[in-house]
Amino acid sequence: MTPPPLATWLAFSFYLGGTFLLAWLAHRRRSGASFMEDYFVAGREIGPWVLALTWVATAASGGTFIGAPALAYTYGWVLLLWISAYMVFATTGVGLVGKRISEIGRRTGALTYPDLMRDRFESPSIGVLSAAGIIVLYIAYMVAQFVAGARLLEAILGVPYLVGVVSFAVVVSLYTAYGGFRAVAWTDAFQALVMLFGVLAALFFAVKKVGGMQAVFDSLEAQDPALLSGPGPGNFLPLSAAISFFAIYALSAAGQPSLLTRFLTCRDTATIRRACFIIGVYILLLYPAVMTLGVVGRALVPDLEAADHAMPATILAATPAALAGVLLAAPFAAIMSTVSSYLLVTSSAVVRDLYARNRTGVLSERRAATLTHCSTFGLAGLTLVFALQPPAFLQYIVIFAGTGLAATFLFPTLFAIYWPRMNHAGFVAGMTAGFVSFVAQYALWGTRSVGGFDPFVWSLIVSAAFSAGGVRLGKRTSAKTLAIYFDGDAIS
Amino acid sequence: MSTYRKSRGEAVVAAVLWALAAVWTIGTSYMLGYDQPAKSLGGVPSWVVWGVFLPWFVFFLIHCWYSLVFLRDDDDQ
Repeated sequence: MTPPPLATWLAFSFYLGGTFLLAWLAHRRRSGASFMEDYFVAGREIGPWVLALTWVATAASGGTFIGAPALAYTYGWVLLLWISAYMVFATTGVGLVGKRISEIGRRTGALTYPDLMRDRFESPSIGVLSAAGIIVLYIAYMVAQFVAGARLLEAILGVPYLVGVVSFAVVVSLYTAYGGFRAVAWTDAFQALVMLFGVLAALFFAVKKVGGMQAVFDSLEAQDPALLSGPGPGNFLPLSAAISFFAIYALSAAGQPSLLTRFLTCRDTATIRRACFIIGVYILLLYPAVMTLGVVGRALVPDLEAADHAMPATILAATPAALAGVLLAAPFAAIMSTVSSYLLVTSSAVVRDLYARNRTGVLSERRAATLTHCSTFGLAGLTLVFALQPPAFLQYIVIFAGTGLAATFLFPTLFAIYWPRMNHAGFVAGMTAGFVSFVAQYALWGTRSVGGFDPFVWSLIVSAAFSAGGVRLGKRTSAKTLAIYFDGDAIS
Repeated sequence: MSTYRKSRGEAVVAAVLWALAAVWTIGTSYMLGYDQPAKSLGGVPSWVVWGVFLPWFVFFLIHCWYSLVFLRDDDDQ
């Protein structure tokens, strides 16, 4: 790929400038809440538009904009079926857990996911265990995002990998530490709009450049007819895998602590309902377009050496230079928004769940602020160290960390918020079994476990069974706590 | 009805919608688009139109109803 013109650099710089401006404005608009409540949940003042856009921006990662279009470029139209579960992504995310988590958060004052579970089961060890799980898995996920960000800078701006990965770590940790959740949410919203505009404009120009969708169809048919049908070249998506991914993409959002935490930040249910609607509209516009762009890229630039360059190469080949800078900011925005959110959740797990809630005495505002900022920079530094040895298969690491988290947390969380009999023992059993089952299956069989299904599917079943069975080993949560979580009439 | 019971009902409906979407999308795509030559419908393989784009649009309409009509406000607001 040839070096980008100055206009691309300038447009990209404007995008970064806009991000920092929003972080600065967010920092200036602190609420009257305590440091932690303001930093981690923005004083529970987030409205529907920002809630919706921060949710989708966090869910859309480097994998969505680099890895997934690369797969569409390699395997063709079957990738539309691969991501089709996003059609019910908002309904399952909000309907299964989001609204309920929000209600409970407002009643109990919880600031983090471990906070919620610790109080639900009256167990400090639950808070520590879930915080530890979040820290380990989110660092793995952030490593993949750091690598994606640096590779993108390398591909579109010619920045060397080392310089790119260090710059990425510095930029994201600075605006996250400076502005807290409000800055993350506002920049997420901005980045979500950049992503949507970028993808739709890039698709328009790319289809026009190829000569229309029929020309795309003819080109793919000439290259390899398997690009037009299932299961795709090399048996990419057999039926068992299609079923697995329909479960993964629709349900994994409901088990992701970073997304669950978003619902602790809004003021009421009306906000959730409107946000749910906006999320559905956004996803309808974004996800089919992202995948179609990967397919069109195969017709436009068919001979790429690395499929990971499909998205930036398609944009550079199809659009005017000045616009390309803005469009190339879209995948970068996806990566930045995901990392900033995960950095915040991981940092809250360290400061709030591992430290503040396990010490005696009151944590002063000043000390809480110092610890939180140090934790944010420390975690970014640790992630950077791992990212210096880049993993070979980016998308699979993203899937591993993303689905691993959901396999670990989904059923224990669902039982915790909907089943009064769920207790400490059931939660620990379900979480541990889900995680161990997922890791063991990946180690033994990779992404195709028993029956050809993804380990996620079996891990969910194992986790649900252990959660239900584990309940028998512990005592019930006190009636006082259950009354807060389940209303008086639900307890019998 | 309590806030808890309302949310539980809404969660059950979300799970049912997920299952219906899975059956339509995977079933149609598998029957029309697997192991057979693709037919073009406006430059898009026809199985993608009937098995992915159409259900996506229909479930979007259902999503609009779910989020704006079916989800109800809490009692404690």
